[in-house]
Amino acid sequence: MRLSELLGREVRDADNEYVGTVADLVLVQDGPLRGPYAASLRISGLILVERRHVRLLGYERDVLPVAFRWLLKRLAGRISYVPWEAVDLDEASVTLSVRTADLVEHDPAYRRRTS
Amino acid sequence: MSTSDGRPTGVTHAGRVLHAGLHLLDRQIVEQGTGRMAGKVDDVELALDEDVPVVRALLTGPAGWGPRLPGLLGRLVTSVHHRLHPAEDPQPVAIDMTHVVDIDSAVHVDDQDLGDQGLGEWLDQHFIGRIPGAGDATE
Repeated sequence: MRLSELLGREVRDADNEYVGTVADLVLVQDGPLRGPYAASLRISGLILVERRHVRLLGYERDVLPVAFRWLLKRLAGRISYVPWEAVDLDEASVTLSVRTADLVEHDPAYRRRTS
Repeated sequence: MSTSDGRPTGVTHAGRVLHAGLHLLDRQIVEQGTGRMAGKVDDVELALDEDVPVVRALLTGPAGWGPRLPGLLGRLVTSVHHRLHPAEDPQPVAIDMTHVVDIDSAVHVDDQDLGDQGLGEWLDQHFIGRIPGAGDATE
């Protein structure tokens, strides 16, 4: 599957309620060793935005200016993170095994762990 | 690319978190040895059927970015690329993640032949290559 096929897809929760759309895919470089250079990029989870057609442009992270983050949050609505284990993917849809109320708000501070 | 003690830089980034759309998509691909700009990351192939789902390859070329364009424009690019490419069913050039040396503001890959890119090659020959100074682009 291609990343572009996943981005923007509508996501529904365990009760078949609309949750949002896929805004990005979180990768962690701790997968199985692949080749001579590094561990592979394991798919850790999805970042979902409540409203459609919103590009996060990286401002969902703990970056400046604060005004941009505030504006993005107003435009995107709820930004949440779903671990890959809770994602059920088929040809046309993305369904979660959790309910919307149980979703974890995306943690902007994750950037401190990135390069 | 390696650190002062000779380790590939990718190893030093073990455990870091990346966003596929933000940190990979549309990034410049740079060949490690020559510094040549080899294209852009036009799409990312995911290996979801493996025990641990991982990123399998980076895709580049018109067959990668064509389908990302909306509506008629996307179909036009894909169709022209199919027409100009020598293969019957041209696929995007896939750079396996084993060839990716490092990811920073660009994606650094070890030297490899990216093959014939159909529409991309045609545009290079007929338009980009004719722009004055195009031959010195890497200097």
